[in-house]
Amino acid sequence: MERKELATAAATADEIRWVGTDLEPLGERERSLLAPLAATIEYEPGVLILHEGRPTPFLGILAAGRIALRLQVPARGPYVVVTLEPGDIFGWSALVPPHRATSDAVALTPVHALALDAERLRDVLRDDHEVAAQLLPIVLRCVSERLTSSWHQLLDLFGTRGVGPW
Amino acid sequence: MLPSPAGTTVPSLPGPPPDRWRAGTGEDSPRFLPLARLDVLIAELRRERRVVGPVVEDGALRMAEIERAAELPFGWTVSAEPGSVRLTRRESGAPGAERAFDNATAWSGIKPWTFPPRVDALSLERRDDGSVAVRVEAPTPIPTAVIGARACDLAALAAQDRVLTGGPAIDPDYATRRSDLFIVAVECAFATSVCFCTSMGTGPEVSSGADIVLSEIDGGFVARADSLAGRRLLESLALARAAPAQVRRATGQVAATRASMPSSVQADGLPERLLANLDHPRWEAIAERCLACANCTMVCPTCFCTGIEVGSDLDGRESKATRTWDSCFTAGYAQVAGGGSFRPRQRDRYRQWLTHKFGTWWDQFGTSGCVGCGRCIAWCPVGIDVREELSIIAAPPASEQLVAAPTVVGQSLPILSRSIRAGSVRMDYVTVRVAEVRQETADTSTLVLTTNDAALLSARPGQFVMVAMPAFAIPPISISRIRPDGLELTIRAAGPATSTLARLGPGAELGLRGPLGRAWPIEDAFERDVAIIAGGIGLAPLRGLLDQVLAQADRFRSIRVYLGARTPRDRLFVSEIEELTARGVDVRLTVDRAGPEWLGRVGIITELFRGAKPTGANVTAFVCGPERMMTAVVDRLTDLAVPREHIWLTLERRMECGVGLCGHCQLGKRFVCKDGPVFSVSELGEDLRREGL
Repeated sequence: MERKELATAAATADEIRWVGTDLEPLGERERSLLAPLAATIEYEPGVLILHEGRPTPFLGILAAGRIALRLQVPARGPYVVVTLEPGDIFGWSALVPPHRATSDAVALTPVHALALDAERLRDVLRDDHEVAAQLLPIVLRCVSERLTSSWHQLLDLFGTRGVGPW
Repeated sequence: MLPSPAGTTVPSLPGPPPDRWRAGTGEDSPRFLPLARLDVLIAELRRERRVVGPVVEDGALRMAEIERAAELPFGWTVSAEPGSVRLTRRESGAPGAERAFDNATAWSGIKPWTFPPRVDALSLERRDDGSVAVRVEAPTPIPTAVIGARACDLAALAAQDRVLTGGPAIDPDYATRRSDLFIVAVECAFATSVCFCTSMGTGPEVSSGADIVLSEIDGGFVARADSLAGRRLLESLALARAAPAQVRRATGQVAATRASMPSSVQADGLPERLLANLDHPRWEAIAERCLACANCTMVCPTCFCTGIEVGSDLDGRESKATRTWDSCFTAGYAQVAGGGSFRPRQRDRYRQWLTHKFGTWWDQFGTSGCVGCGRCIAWCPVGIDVREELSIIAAPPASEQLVAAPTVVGQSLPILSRSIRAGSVRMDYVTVRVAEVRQETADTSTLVLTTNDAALLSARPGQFVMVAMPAFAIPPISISRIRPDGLELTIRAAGPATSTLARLGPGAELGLRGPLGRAWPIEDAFERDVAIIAGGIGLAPLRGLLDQVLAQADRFRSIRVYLGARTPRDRLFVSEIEELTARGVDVRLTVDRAGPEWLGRVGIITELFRGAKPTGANVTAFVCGPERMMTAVVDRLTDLAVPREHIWLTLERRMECGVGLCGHCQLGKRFVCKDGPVFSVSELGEDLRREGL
């Protein structure tokens, strides 16, 4: 699948929504420092947004639509690990070395998102520690939740465990 | 509400029991039964009853049917220590050589006669026309007299009475056997090193529960009647009054026995101290010694746990369910559908036994589960001594000296759940017919059952039924829908019985017992935001609740449904759920794993809360799924400020009887079958996530 963006454009102030997203806890000052980095992006269903193993170009904030994070398993095909809903951030590897995507991200529906350019974002975090202090816990929380989800999926809680007494 | 007595300490009464051996001239004054006339007493008893007394068998004392006094253990004495019991014959002419009861408790106690190791429970039959009949076996009453019961035996009998006949469910077999039991008790003239009845407040004096009480002295017995039947019998023997000196010898003897027993268990406050130490390192140390042989539970006169074994003829037409003694030490005891066990480790099982016996028994039955007979100590092959273990795990505060507990036989604390009338729980099975079968997933089917049984039709969402078929174990199945003409059960194949049930066709018949257990408290959600949260087969017990919520939707502020499934193919009630969505109900669904063709959500169920938060004090949540999923849901709901008393769960445990008699489904002080299976998170408290409880 090709990475095919329908549109990329610098976001206007009206297009940037913080409330109701994972980035809502950011302060006014921090939001104003990040807004210039933002671009709006749109994808058609089926489009590969991030590619596992390749550099992550941006930290995304899903505004509308559904994204699947999935892994390619040779001879088994793609395996969906988790789906993302509006308000979720994606592409956290933009902030975490080695800055490579840990899964594919695919648009399951028409997707509308905000993208914070990875290199410029890292520059801001290096220069302004207050932004870093506010943004990194948000990103770590996202990583922690994905980790916990993966553990739960690994437990296969809804699966049958063996033969019981009945 | 759960049984929760105001306090669980042993009531404080001063000293040993009041003297019941008042010498005097009245009709009730003690009599003297010469040794030579013991056979007359036994013969009188045998006119209407079989007589059971201690006999020497395989180097130990056992309660067995006897015909003559000579069969009693005359001249035998017993020495018992942790892991050791030895009988010794006294030499002719030595003190006690002419005595029958100057030894100790028989290892078997009375229990095998009132609560036999195996009894027929049900007969199940599949007839040629496919119809099924399930009959509860009625025991044949055999009038029985026990001679030689000790004070601890009587205290144990009283404890079992509370468990098995205290209600709301009554064990019909025990009740029948117990109803016509005549007891000739003996006050102990001798205590072994494992005896600790004084610590538990049950003896050695016999204060209640007997018809006749004997105290053996040289040449015969001082005897008193403690019941009308006992008095009639003594009168029929036309015995002379005991001389004051004989009465003094009898009372002095038992007082000496009391004095010979060092206080070894500080019973006052023991339940609290024990339950405060569920994480004590000693549990692991015991587990390394314990062989899990279950000897302690087999010789314990109060242990009441049972299992159901179903045997069948080869073509599965006729089968019998047998109620057998079971033990919380066995690996399969806490096993559930799918084969997992809630007490996988040895330490979990030992802890269950000891904390139940000395702790949670008070919450459940208002009395101690231990009577201080010491059998579990003597018959433990590795000599684990509960007195020593209790002194380490539940050590009394350093300032407290060990003191003998007062005798509290017959005394007990009120139990709140006893408001339900004893015997009000139905024990019979109703035959129902499978009208329709819907295959939900590859391994799960819904059986639509028709019945006109009023009790079954009065079932409420969250309750369950025991489902009997000839030749199969009897599983508890939650009710997934209540219809005007019957019930629906949604069954996942997870073992032989459920696999067979899930493959039944229309026209098949089943036996149902129920409805059982506590229902979802729908009224807790009136005028509030309802969140129904189900994972996997956990949707089945919530489906009936969803029906009722939707039927009176205007009573709720909002209704949200959150569903988790393993894969898209494992979703239950797919068309019904789609209809709900079409009707505008807020239903969110996620699956744990999916292929690329699935365009819905993938992730764990708590992620559904991100988009539509069940937030705040006005939410009532009803949750069912694997326990690990439910604890994750509880954590998220708590983060979202949903009050714990408004989060309701239904727990899975091994429910073998469904009515609180078999012991299997205990979670701390609770019987999940009758106190639950629905609980609020605040009711469960710390027990919800305690490992191995």
